[in-house]
Amino acid sequence: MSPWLRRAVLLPVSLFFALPFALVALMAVMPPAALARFPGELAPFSPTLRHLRAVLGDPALSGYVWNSLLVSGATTLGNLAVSALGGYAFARFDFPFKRPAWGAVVATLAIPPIATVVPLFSLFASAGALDTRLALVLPGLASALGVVLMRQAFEAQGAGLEEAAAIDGASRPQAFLRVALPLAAPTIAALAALVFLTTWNAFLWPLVATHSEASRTLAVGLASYRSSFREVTDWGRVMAATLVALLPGLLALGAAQKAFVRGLGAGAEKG
Amino acid sequence: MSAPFRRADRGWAALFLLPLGLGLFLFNGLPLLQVAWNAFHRWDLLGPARAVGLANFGAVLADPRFHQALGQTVAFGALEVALEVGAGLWLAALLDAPLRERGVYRAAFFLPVTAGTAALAIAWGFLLDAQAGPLAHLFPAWPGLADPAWAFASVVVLSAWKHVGVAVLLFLAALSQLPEPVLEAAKLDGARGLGLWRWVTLPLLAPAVAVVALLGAINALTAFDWIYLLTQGGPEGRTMVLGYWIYQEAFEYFRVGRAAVATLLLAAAAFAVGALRRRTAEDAA
Repeated sequence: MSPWLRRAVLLPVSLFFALPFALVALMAVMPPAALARFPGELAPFSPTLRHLRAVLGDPALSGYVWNSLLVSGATTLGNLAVSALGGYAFARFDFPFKRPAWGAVVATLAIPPIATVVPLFSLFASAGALDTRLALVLPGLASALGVVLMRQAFEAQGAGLEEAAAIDGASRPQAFLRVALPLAAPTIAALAALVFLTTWNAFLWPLVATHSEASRTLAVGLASYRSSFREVTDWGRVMAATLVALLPGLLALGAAQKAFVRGLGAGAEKG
Repeated sequence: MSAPFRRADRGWAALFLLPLGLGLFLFNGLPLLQVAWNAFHRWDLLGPARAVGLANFGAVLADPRFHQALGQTVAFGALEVALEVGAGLWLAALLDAPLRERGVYRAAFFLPVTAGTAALAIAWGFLLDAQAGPLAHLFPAWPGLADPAWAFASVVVLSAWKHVGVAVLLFLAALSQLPEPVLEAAKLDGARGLGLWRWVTLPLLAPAVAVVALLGAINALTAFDWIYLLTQGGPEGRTMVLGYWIYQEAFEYFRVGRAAVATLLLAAAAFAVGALRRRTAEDAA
């Protein structure tokens, strides 16, 4: 097929994929007068940052953004630690029941979030920890995908350098921290992006586990606008908040397009 | 000088494994066990639970809403798999040749993968809104998500739309690893265009197709976000699927036991799909 024929298909299809993003970006910077006439009429306008400032000035919305940042950041750091330790153990040690243990780890990949949400709710309720940011962090700390990726990274780099470090007097934790972890940096970066985005975008568990503004995340805060579009009076602010919610994904995709896409693709294949 | 590390060093192994084991047990394994226990109890999330034997199973099996949810989950899954495999193959084929702006298209298809459904649902909710939305302005007859058939089609298409970028990537990776000699031989034998695709390329892509199909099946099986955000299972229950049914039973009607029965079914299906995926992965290797 000729390149131009392919472009004739690819261009409109990619517009279909980019459309909601363009809409959000457009409405987030539209002055109120232009918003009032949209979508009936779309005339040139001078972009404004007032809606984005309003989001950051709105105590509820800025609180959601802050909660999302805290929860995603803490989950990412914790998950990296747990995944690196667990992946290292499966890559470097022999221990009893290693094969069935690995089977159990991999089997948890298949557990859908909707299957565990009710027991998690009662677990955190009985611990008196519902509606806290901690409740949003803890369940994301251990993930099979993270361990699978880290084990692969450690196995690929081999144990040779660590053995050399051992002969030079390094202890096991030193070999792990100073030799194995730095060599796994590319995988760690990909996993960090993956965990951060997954947590930032998470919906079901934050929806169930939180009910006050003090612990709600941005994704759940946005959902309160659902199916009440007729009552929305300030579309600019809603779209500006939506734009903030889309930002981490856009940044990740833009900053490291090739590496990121490949990393995620590999993750999805293995996951 | 110390001895080289021992692989059988159980002390360190246990220490390294502890956080992982604790996390997976507390937040994955234990909850599944509790679902199995819940299925045999009557419980409203707050008060005491009461053992009721198989009563929940009977109640779920007799519930017409559950049957509707089950049927629509299967339909949702079949359509989502068809869309993800079909559109994924089509777009990957179009991208599988030099094109200067190839990376731009690939990034565009991947945009929704990186975004949260809650944010996307705000944009699509506005686009599809029957009063305020642009679509309603272009087509005054557009019924919005109030029409059962359109609502069902919309959530299926949006679910596939969000995930197809992953399918495109997997297919592109598979296409780049096709055995060149086989393709050359087929071309020498006169295979061209669609015939080459149908009889040579597609069979070689079978493992990737299987992976994408199983991913699509999982997406449909666990569909919740789009439905909660756009249609709440309606109108007329047409977008009620298993995931949303479970949520509603547990957190709106407080019938945890019934939700647990459906969850067992869902988990069994998810594990079956997971096992199939591991088998296709081993076959491919």
